Amino acid sequence: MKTLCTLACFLILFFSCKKEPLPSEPQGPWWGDAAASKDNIIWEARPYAVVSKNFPDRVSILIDSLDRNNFLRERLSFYRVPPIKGTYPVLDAPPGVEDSLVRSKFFYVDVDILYGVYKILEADSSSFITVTSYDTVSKELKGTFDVTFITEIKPYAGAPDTIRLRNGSFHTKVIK
Amino acid sequence: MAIQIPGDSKLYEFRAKHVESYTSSDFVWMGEIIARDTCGEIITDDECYSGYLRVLKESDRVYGEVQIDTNYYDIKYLGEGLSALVKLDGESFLPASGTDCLLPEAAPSFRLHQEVAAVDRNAICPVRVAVLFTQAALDNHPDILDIINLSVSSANQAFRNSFISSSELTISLAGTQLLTTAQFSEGDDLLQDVHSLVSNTTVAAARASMHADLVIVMTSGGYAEGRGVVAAFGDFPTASDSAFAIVEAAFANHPNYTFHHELAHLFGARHQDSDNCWTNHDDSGLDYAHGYAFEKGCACLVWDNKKWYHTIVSACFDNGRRQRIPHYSNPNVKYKNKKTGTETTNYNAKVLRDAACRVGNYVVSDIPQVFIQGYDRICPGEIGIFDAIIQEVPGPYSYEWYVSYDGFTWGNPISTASWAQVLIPSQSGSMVFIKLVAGNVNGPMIEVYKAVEVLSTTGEQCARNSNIPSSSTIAYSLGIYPNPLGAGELALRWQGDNSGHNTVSIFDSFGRMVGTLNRQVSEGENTMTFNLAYLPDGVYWLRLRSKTFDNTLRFVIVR
Repeated sequence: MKTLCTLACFLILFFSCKKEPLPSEPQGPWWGDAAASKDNIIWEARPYAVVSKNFPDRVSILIDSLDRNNFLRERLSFYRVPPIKGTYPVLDAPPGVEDSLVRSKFFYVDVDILYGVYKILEADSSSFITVTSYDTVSKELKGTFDVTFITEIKPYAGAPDTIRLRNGSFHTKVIK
Repeated sequence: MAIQIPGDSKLYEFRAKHVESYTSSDFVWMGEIIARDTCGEIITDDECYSGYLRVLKESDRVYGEVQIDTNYYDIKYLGEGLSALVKLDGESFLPASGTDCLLPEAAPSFRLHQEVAAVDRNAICPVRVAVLFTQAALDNHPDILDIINLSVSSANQAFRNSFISSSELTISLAGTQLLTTAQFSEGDDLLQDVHSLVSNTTVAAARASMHADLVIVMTSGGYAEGRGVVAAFGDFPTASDSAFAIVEAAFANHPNYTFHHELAHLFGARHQDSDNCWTNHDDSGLDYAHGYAFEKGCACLVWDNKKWYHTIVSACFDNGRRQRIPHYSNPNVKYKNKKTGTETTNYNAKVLRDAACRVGNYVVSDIPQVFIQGYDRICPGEIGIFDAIIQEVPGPYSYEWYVSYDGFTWGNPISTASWAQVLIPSQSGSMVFIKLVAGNVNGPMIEVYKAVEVLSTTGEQCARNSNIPSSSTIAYSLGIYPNPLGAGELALRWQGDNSGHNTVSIFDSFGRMVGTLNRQVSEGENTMTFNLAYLPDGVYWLRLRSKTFDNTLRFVIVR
């Protein structure tokens, strides 16, 4: 009997020490989903939108690619998008420029370390974002995009010079 | 100094562990708090230490931060000479979302300094940090300058907690400046904002005028995704040009330590590695440069409530069980009896030490710099020798040295030479504070401080020395000549008590090794000569080490 109790205690202890499970859902501002073909590979990301600080009738849409631990690794940003049905050309977002045009950047990031920046290739004028619907009550926003970026700060030696995001789509919410 | 917390019947005693000053009118005390019961007995937890206190005083303006047991407080200046102790509501520090580490409850008792072997690195590469702040930060935090001063002093304390001596790395506040909305304002994207700092002409001008190696912008942007970010990692080729960070003012100091976190990234410190919270993906950075996370106590039987301590440079997803401690990872420092790092992977302290001179030279300053060079930890009863280093201003110089044994009381000058001898008290664990007022005789005097910890006689370093037989100590009497050294060779003579392998190393005043020699020596008198013609004039240190002996002598080259 004593041996059985000892064995039972040992088993309880052993199985109690199992590894802490990873969270299944990211904790953060994200709402909804987004996807695109990034250089012909499926790119899935988590989006959210905020009201533009300096343009209250516009929204900025931030689409984040997270790693398996839900840490930020890449970000596709659209700034000052009108939440109105329509297609809008997308230009580069030079630092400090805050105008009424829709602008975009693509970042490589290690949580809070910025190490790569791509800017819109403006020469071919092919980058756009389309707002397909916006519910002013639920604040849900849907749309599509097609954007091409070129290197501004190369994230690592073997990184591509150009990033093409094709057939992109998002469904998110304006969170604040 | 006694401390009384409203609503708490315990008596608290404050012991200064570190002092510093930014200007001639302010003063910072940092130290630990020990709790006593109403009978005056120390209330024992596992280390007897109950918290820490950081008080900044500028004339009648007093502010700071306190942690006692599981409670955090801010000391807020209210005006007209009045300050208040404000207990932090942990919830108010939790953002609606985010990926950064959050404080779930409060820190346990905490000891500032761990007893570890003394080191004699003498690197002196101060890093100047300009802290700018946005209009929004000022609007939401009228005490933004207090927050900035606290951040700088608290970061220095975190270095000391992590066994990074003041000689190895000290940051100083190069200046503060408001960025008007037209000059810089928070946008919608933290990444875009930090990227924009690199090309911001106002920020560049502020950095240049303040001779700042690093620039940190305090914001109050309410960014949805984070509280801080850096424009580049510390060992990137572009790090010097991109040495910028954004820190949300509300999270700068305890219990979040975001200022300290982003600051360390600018030196090349990486996030923690190898736990179930985080796996690094980046290939850059040094292998040992990671932060660290370790479990609190035994996790068995309560695995679903398992709690973790995270050193400052950590990234974690959980806001309920992961708590930051004011330490950078270091395998030689323990927190609550557990190592705060590993030698091969999780050693932020080494990164910070090693990068200090690189970062400190990002921007060359012509502002007078005064430093105290010497040991940070000394065995009881010894005589400490400290040198004044003055840079960026020509001589002739004036020096005044003071000593204090409590951090508050300073007597008459003990020396007016370029160096001073200080008698170290015999009480283990006590502190000695040294103040130097120096500069060009016709220019402004700079006031600097150094805290020296008296080691335990049973600690590794002092025990090792005390285990050497007295005859051996005498036999090893070490002499170098001539000193000062002119055109000839430097000769070293000592008596060895046994044969063996000896190492002689020479360090310059920046702590860089400029020469070394390994030699088998015999029992009895030994001599060595060094041709040091390749070294410029200056102050140097010669260190002789053997299996049982370790001593350092100062010498000067003047040709």
